[in-house]
Amino acid sequence: MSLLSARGVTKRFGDIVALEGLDLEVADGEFVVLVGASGCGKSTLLNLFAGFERPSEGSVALRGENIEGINPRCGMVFQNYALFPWLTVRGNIGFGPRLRGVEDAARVEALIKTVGIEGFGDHYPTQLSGGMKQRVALARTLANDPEVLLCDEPFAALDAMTRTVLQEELARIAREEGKTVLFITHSIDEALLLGDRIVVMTARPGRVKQELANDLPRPRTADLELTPRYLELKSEIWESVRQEVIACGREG
Amino acid sequence: MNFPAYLDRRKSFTYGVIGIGIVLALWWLLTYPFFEERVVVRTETGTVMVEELDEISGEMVRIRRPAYEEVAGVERRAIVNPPALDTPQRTFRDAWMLLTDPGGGRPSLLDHIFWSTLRIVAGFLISSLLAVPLGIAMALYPRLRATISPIISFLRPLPSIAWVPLALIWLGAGEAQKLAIIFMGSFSAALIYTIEATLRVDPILVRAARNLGVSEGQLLGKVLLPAALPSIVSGLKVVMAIGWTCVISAEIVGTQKGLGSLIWNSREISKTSWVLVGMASISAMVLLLDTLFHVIEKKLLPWVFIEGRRS
Repeated sequence: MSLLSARGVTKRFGDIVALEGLDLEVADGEFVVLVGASGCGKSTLLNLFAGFERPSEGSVALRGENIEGINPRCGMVFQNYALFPWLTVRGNIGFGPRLRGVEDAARVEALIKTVGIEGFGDHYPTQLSGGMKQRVALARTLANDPEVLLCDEPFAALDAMTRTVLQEELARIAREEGKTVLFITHSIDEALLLGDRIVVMTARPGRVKQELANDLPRPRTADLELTPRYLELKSEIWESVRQEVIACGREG
Repeated sequence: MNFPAYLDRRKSFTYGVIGIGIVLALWWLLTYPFFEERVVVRTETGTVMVEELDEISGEMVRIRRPAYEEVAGVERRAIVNPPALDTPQRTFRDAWMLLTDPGGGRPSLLDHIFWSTLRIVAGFLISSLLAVPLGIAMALYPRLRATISPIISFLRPLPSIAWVPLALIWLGAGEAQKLAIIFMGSFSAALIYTIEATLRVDPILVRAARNLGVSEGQLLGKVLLPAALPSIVSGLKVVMAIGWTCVISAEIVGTQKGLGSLIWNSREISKTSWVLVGMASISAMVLLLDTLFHVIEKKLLPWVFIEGRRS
């Protein structure tokens, strides 16, 4: 049984159809990247899995159980970090466990180490750079021990170099922690660097257009971008995405 | 040219002192008696017997008339003279007198400051203790907001002085009337600042918190309140300053104590120096309370004032 599944999902906002008849399965331990033009409903799909929105038709499920409400078992990592400015790095990371009364200082310290922000435990978010904020946000989500990490373009606001470093780290952390990840992006390079499987979405209304198994060897680094297989996959995805970007432009 | 350009603390301080120095120097120049004005003073010194032609009888008669002495003198005058403006020396002397012994059983400057501050702090506490919870509730419940907003829109434009007649009629000239004026003048501002601060909380924080397991009921305490607090507190700082404008209206009548009554009463006896002392005291107290507020703010909200902010 897949860990996450969307079956025949349609989501309408008033007259706008964001998703239409979308099917997607994510297996346990898999790193799936959703690629698509902006406005194709990628974020909407994540919001359905997180329980922030309910599908208009069809169903979303975690381990076969329908997702009915807000669901901390699917941990979200946001593009704008969404850190709590009144809490220190430690306070942010320990937020979820503290709510449930299972705060574990050692676990917080271990996570600080995992995401590479040693020495910043007592800093407030405003004192951190964008890359470091996203590391804290990732640690905060991991501290809650979710079954799936839902990543909503988490590196889109970062500069190119920081982004590359964080991509490599996320791949490492997901592997080490054995996390299932559903990651959305509009960067094909990011998709190829991170994903076990890459799912291309159509322009609005969003559906799954194409799925590709990414057989590039791990661990993947930026060097991989020069290999023939990489370029082959990249051009295949780009061809697929390009038509949707054009379709999107025509509609908008 | 650097833009925006700033000075370091020391230089800023030096230029600040120069600015205040210019004002004092101008004051001194305006009230310095540069001009000499010739004046003739006639003084009645007694009576003298004079011979005069009586118009009716046509004879010379002796009668008693007042005698005058005319003394030519010089009076020194400035560009601006009392009671329009006293000299700085005179004003500082009067300030000292007001502080130590104003005479005639009048309250001293410290009494005035104490009473105004007490009224403001009490009025401020009453209005913020009611406005903050109500404002948060209004931010959370749109029906409540829609119901109360028009009432607030109607009350907000009224300056505090407009409440003086009703407050006098309903409450008399006691402390209740003073508090009511301060309350009416500051409540709607406190309410509006609180509503706006709460509505401005980034919804993504709410999402993140819910995703981390915060229940609907915990949202207020765990997220909304700490997220809105910095803006609420800076709003309340403004409300405190509004309190000062209210207390001056409140003290127009019905009291001999308070900086408001000091400046109104001093005007009636044309004691400009005391009006100035009262005004300067108001400014000083606003600054003092603001600084105090800032200290509390820093303790309460360390994350807002943290140094070493990065991009």
